[in-house]
Amino acid sequence: MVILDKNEHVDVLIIAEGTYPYIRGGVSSWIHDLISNLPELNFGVVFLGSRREDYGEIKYKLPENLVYLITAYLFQDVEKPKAKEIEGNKEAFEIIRKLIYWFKHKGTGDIPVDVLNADFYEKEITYEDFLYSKRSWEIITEFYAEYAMGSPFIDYFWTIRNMHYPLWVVARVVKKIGDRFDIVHSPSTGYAGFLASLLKAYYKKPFILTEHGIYVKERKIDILNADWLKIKGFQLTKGAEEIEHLHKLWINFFFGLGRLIYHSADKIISLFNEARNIQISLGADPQRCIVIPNGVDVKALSPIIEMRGDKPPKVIGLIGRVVPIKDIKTFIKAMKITVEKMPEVQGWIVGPTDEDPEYFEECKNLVEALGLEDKVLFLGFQNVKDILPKIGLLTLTSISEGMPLVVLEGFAAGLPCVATDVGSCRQLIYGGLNEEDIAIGKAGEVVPIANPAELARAYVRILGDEDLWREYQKNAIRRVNTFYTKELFLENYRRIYSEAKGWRV
Amino acid sequence: MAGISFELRRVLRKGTITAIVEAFGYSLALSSGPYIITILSLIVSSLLYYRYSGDALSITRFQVSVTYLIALSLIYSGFGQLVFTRYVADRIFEREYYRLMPNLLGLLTIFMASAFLISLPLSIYFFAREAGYSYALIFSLTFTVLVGLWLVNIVLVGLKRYKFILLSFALAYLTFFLIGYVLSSFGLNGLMVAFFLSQSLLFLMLLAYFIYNNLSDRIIEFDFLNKERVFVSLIFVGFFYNLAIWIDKFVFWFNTATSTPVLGPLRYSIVYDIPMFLAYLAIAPGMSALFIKIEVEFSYWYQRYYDAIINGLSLRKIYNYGDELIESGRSALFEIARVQGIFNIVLILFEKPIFTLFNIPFIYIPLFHVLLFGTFFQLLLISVISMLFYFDRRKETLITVFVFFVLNFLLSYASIKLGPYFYGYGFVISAFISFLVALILLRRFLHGIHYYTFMFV
Repeated sequence: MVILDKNEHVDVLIIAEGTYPYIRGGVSSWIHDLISNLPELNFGVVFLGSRREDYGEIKYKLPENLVYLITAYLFQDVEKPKAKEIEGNKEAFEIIRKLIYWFKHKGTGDIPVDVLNADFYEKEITYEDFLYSKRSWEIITEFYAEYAMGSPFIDYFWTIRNMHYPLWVVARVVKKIGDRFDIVHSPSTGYAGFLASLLKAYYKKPFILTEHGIYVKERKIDILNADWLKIKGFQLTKGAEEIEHLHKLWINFFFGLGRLIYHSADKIISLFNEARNIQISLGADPQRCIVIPNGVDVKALSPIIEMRGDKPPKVIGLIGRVVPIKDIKTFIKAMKITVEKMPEVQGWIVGPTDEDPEYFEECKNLVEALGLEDKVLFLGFQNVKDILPKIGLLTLTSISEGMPLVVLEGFAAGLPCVATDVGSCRQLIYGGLNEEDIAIGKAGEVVPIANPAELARAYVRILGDEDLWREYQKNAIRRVNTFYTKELFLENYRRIYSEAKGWRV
Repeated sequence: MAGISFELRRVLRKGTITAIVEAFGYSLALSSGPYIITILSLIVSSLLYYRYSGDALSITRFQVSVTYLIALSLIYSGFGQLVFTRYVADRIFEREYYRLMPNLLGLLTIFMASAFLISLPLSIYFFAREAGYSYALIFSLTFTVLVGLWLVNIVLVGLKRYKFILLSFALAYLTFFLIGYVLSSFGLNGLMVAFFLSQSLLFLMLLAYFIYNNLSDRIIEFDFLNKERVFVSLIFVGFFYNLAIWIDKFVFWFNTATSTPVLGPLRYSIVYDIPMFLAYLAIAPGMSALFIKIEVEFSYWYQRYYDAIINGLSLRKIYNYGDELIESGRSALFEIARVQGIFNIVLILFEKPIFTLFNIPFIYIPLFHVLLFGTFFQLLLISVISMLFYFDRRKETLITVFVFFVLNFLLSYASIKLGPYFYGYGFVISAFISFLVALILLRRFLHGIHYYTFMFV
């Protein structure tokens, strides 16, 4: 559905899957910042959601230069056609067979590019063909026999249906958008990246892919608590191994899709080195992979350094949502050990608690059980600028991260950081972009995940040694100023966008 | 009372000859009891009343009236029979039990009210002059009650309440004998009133039984007309099925060469009717075999196949169970054909003593032979249609019954034109071809059963 159309030419069309502008979060803010800070370019956004009812109102004040916004719902938008017996196109299903082998053999040999043509989904294999044709049934049973023999067939069947169904939704969006843009930019692989690939192929436009995390990895965690496995069809069976099996199916699907998208993207951007290596290992061409880190507004944050003074407040701040992926419980346990050595230390957990009320409840119970009621405080959602002057050490205990902006904001505000060894944390804290970055030195500590003792040791060490703290602070400020300013980030994208218009695709 | 098939399975598991005979007799009573009781009662009662009153004209008029009433009411209620049975099954599946009773009452209201309003003016127009207004009124009332009766009956059959149905039929016809004995001295109207009262009793018994077992806090509802919940094709399947099995009789009744006028427009065919009744009585053993084979064995494999799917078995297992299901369907058809075939041979061997026993002229024997083949194929046709219903193949069923209707009409008509030697062949050939059509459609479905089951949900 077209939400906004100012009838202006779109320079950059962004494909947002489940993010901007309907859901708040890291990627959404990133998109919003990018659009707001490049006012000389006109942007369009395609929002891909799961189902309409899963989203509320638009959560951002849309910038002036956002001239086009369209929504499509992956599990809703295409009406199920009336059932009828059909044969299906033999050659077209042969292409699918080839494609699946291409996925299975890690992308060796020629890729069947037909599947990147949006017409394929209207002419060769229509949605009706996919649902009702004999060839479709043949191919499903054939691959079941080859790769999933013995697992519950009904679950396999519906999983296959549910995961492919959105492809037809996406293919229809291609024509709806039309030839109104210069560059398509997708901040993830998955269905969004697939749409971007189709748009590129159909209108012969450059395609830029930015991955904030690794889509497949995040989907893995998503799928673990997903209700959307049951969107349609029979009640699925629930045995642990069976669910495990379905996860594998989804993950393989997203790996395959990712490989196709990597193949199609002209530039593959990651936020940190480690992510780039993973992309390459998943099939991305190293020549096209570059790193563009996120940046923060250093100028706005640097006055906080003065406000705090040169003595660190004995407060450890964890800024993030209270959800399992942030592993708040490990932080609480680490605080228990910390206060035994330094009773004056407090731990603040700053972030919304309503996303997973059950987990929040468990965390509160843990605080009570450990007798930390006056040591560990849940402050809820707060303005980061109000919190940063009052804390002396920033921490992240997550089991998975991409590039956490809060660490950079902390650096800009003169805060060292203790973080688990996930995502880009090591690169941010120890330096890792290049030689110069390493030479700056440490801006905190990196510890293994789910290890309260190590965390506590790092907390005690930094808060108990003011010289060390000041050293880390100095390095942090220097690093963020050199590599992670918003200006640098915007300059990078401005350059890529202007170069992209000249790429031959 | 899914217990029936369970009981039969238990009896059959003993594996002895007596056990098989026992199961066979049991299912014979349950499956064919009601229609055997009906046909026999009508034949025997007329013999008895003839002895008692000697009023041959009234008895013939009564018999023909009742035959027409049953035929017309079956055809008229055919519009509602299957579509409503399906509605009941769906509501039970969705556990909306509270909808059953009010919607049955809604259905009965529509069908019985319309039946009465349509039949009353027509029967006055056709019968009042010759048989009087009271006959016309009773004819119309009986038609109305029968329409209601078939609807409640098929719902209870769908719910497998065979025992109660059998009991009710037995009781109703016993009542008919008693009242008829008293009223037969009043001639045609007396017999008609007796029949009307007995059928009203039967209707009320079945209805009361249904209401008692499906109490609801609502009285009447028309949810079964809800567009989302009605399967239009089933309306026509029910109608054409009933029309198809009666159309050859109507062709013979309304052809002057083969029929005699009885009352107003009502005619009967002395050459066709009696052998036809006999041929229908003769398929009782086959109906019993059908009952055992389809309701007990086939349904078991059917359930196993779909359970295998829903319980998440592997495709290999699903294929295996599918093969076994198909095998059980095949064996059901063979067994039914075998049982009925052997019975027919025995019947033909002993037909003369039997005809003599019941005082039926031997002149009917040649046509009886022909019609035995007709009912034989109709039995097989019903077997295949039952399986098509199991798989919810509504389109295939509709094609089959429509073919049966058209052929039975045209070929019966042609058989009369061709002369007495060809009587009955119209019915035989149309039943045979329709059976083949149904079989081909079933085979085609079974060939892709997994494909249809998964892809067309």
